[in-house]
Amino acid sequence: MATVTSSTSSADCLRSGSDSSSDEVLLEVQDLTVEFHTDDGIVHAVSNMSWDINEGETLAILGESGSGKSVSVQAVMGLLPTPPAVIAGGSIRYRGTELVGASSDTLRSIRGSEVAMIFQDPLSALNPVYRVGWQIAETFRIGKRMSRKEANGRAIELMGRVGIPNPEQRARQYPHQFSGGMRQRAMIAMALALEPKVLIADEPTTALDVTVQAQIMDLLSKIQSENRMGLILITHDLGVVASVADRVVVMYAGRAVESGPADDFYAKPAHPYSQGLLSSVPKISGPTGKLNSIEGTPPSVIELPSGCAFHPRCPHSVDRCHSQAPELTAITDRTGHSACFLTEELL
Amino acid sequence: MSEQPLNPADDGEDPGELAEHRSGVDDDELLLDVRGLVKEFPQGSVWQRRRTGPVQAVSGVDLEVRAGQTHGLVGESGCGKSTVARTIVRLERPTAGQAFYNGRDLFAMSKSELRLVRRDIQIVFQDPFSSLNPRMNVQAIIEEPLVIHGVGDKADRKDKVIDLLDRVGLNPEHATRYPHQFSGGQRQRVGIARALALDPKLIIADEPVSALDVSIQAQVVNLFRELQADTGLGYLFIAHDLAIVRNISDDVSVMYLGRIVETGSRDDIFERASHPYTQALLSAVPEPDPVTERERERIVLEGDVPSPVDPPSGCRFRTRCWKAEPKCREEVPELVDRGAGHPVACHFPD
Repeated sequence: MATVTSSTSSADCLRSGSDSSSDEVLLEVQDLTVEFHTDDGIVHAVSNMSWDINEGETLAILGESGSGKSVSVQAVMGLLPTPPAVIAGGSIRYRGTELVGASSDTLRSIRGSEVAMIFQDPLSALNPVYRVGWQIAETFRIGKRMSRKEANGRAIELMGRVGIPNPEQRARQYPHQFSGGMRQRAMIAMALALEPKVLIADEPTTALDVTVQAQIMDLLSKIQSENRMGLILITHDLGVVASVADRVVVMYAGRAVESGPADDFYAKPAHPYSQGLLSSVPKISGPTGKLNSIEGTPPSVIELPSGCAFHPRCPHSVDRCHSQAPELTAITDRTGHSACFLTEELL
Repeated sequence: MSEQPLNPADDGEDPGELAEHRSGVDDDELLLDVRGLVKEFPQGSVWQRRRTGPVQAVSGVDLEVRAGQTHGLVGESGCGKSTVARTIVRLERPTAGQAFYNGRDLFAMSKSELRLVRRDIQIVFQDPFSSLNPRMNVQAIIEEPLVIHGVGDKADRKDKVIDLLDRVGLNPEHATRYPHQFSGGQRQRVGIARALALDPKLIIADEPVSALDVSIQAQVVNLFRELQADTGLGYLFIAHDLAIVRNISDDVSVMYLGRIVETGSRDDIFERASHPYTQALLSAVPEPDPVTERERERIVLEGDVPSPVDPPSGCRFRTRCWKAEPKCREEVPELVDRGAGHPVACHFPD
């Protein structure tokens, strides 16, 4: 069980609302700082980031490319290449077990079986020279020490559950014979094989067409409610997760700039970056015309701007923003948090 | 080696036929008029080709682009929308059909005629990482079309590049930098500056913003809008993102497996969609608003787009359509107005 002291700064900021307090906290990331030591300098990929995920809950980590949204979950899964990556601070706990600096045995017992992950590009995540069924069955053979025959049977059953038609026949095919949507289903089957408590999906629908996107999101949320998993969705697409996310964390330049219940975020984003981001998304209904946009480009993570990293692009920035970095602080009369000095004035 | 978009993929031998004039060409508003475009690709190895026959990527597409207006072409991956773009600029050789530019058929032109007309028609590609030569600096990239077409001397071209950089929202000092020193959005601006170098009348933009981040997408879409308002450019804007197409387009055509299934004004498509595929596509677009998202009725299509190698008979959408009847298997629905006020290729439109 995760027992967390509330003394640390931003950790409890991201704690879920009281309504889901009966559910167990599964995964908890606290003040995580990840740096990449490169020839060009130190990349501050993630700075002091905290989030947690409860049973049966969906957390969306939103951000644009380079914002560090994938790095914190790669740290959880032990997927960061070290070197150059260095976990410079913070902790990652799975049901109370510390994962930062844990032995490879501990990591192996959690990764895949307790916390599983699916990726954006299923073609590069699947091995092209093995049959899809074999690859899914491998999880059972290694993870559950099943016999070849039993594992194959389970793989076919699982393929049927994730909506792959004719699973017996499809299991004998190779990844290149699968369409993008089917490959993503095969990846999901593989991730679900050991019945993980937490499923991390990194841009699961980005490579897919809209009609297939909808199918995959439906599948993920169906599986999530059946298994009462914690689901972490990492995406740049504000639309895809709108209907399924319970909570969101918005990342900018390696920091969480806003967090809170999804409905509050979408109805009334608090941070100027969130506001800019949401208003720059073109809509399928309502007025057309010049789009709102955020001026400028995201900063280089090697040379972050002083103070608030968003201040050079922020329409509301004041002198203080140039020198001081705002902490994530609670928004008055709301469950969410925002890292902006002007939050109250802007809402 | 050149990544210059003006280069034809083939030498396009002169079909002997001189450009014929389309009737009603006096309507000088109409820039591009594509009629019955078909593009087939040979399939399999050279030895297999005789047996398998070609794959039809585009099966009879009609499109119009008017000056100062944007025609949006939407569809999912593999529907042939990029092939339409590449064939119009003759990066691919068409199998059949005509494409009239100012009344002259681009597909029947000799190489030298085509070269002249290419100054007016430019293309902007999706991937700003692979469409710019990494060994050329921005000055060289943007002025290359001018060099090829022998426009101005060195000093003129330098001024022109600085002017173009300014028009696309970059600084003059960017001229000496190389593509890798730019972000995706800035690279796309360089690609647009290059397309604008010869003062074209028509720009074919093939997924120009889909590789960009949300906040940058909006900037680039706005840039397209501004350039059109300033110079009266016509756009054929190809994208899979329906919300972006809705934002920028005056007219919209929806493609499925090589055919246009519905076409009309923006509101015809987005407010009065009558083809089941268009309806499904629209209902699948996620909106960044949890309240409308939860209330919305979503048509979730079964399965995937069939392979163009072996498309379904009759209506190509019938294998995923909830309204399909035996007639859909037997008869190809024509793209005609069936009472919706705009053309729809469906036997049973709403």
